[in-house]
Amino acid sequence: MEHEIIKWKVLEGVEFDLFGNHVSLAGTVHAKTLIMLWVVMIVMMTFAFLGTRKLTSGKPGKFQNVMEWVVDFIKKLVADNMDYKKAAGLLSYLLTLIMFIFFANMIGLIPNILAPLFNKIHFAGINEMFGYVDGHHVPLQSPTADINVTIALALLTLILVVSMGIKHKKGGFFKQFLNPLHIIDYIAKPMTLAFRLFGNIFAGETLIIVILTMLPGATVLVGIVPMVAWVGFSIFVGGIQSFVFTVLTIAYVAQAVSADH
Amino acid sequence: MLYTMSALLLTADVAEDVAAAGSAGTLDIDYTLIVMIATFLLVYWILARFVWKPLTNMMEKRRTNIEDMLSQAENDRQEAERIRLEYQEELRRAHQEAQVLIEKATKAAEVRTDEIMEQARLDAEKTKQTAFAQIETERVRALAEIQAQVADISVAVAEKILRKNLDASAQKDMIDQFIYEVGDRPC
Repeated sequence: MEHEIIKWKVLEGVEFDLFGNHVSLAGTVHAKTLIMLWVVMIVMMTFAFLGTRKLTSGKPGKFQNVMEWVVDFIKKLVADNMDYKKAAGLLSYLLTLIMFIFFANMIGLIPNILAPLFNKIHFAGINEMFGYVDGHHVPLQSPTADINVTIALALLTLILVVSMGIKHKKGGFFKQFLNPLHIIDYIAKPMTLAFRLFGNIFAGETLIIVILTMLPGATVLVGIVPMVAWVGFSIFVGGIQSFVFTVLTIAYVAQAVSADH
Repeated sequence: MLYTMSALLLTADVAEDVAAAGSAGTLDIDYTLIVMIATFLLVYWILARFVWKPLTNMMEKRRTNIEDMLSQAENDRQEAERIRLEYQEELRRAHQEAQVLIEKATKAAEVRTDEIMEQARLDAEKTKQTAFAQIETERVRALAEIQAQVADISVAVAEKILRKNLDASAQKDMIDQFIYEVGDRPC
């Protein structure tokens, strides 16, 4: 089974001359990652809007309770790591971040029960992405199992850290770069963030594919035992990774805005 | 390492699939990254505006509500304590006043008792005096009456004697004796 990633071509023919050089913006996007990304965003926004549909400062409903628990959890994390006043505007970003990574990590673990349906859609390669390949179900894919997504999140964290540093320390923020080790630090931090998340989720999903395709025919039922164990572990890993990414973002911002840096 | 492991564990066929999945583009960096950043920022903006902000505002409102209620409860408690002390003080004062009143009443009653007793004694004395005086008057009156009657009787006796025996000298002693005896009789 040749498992080629489907890419959509974008910005074809967008070309211009810049300082005498011919520049073409034509490129590709990872179709499956993008679709899963949108699915995650929709699921996550639905969850968030359902949770805050009937907001009350009195007795909250079950859904609102969950949302409040998440908010309190992140608030406490931030307050533990830094001066909360400095991070007041950060809360919404961190909440969106942890929710996105969590839902993204989880969605790859949901069995692709609609594969027979998707297999019939011969449009933009959907039958290849979500249908059957060589008689096997193609599982769903976490957006975070794509390096582009994790690097994007890490870049956002980097931008956040630098802008928070500049906001609170003005020009003093750049003084630390007189020591070249700090330059490496600022390259290494987002890289480790991106590759840690990618590695964990990608490995988890790869093993799911392996278990699904390991045994042929009726003996595939034997795969239930390792599958249950591995999916259980992947849920744990997915939760932990979303937590780790958020905590490290908070820690890096705290480092950048702390006075004694 | 994963690839090595899977290669050891699985058939060569599956191991190839796994290797292919890794090499066939998941690690390529392309416009997905830009789209991801844009999508994430958009979702962040929407959620921040329509979900997180109302939610945190509401939680803040609840916090202030609870704070208000707690301070209100504390105020009420203090007010109740104040009223309790006030009532206690009032009760104490009422007890004291009642005690004073009782003492005063007792004293007044004693005085009144003495007065009544004295009055009764005086009344009794007066009654006794009046009775004595009345008795004396009665005695005098009775004596006078008796004397008058004796005179009448004497006259009657004298009359009888005179009618029977005109011998005055013979009867004189007897009459004198009679008068003497009458005078000695107690009234």
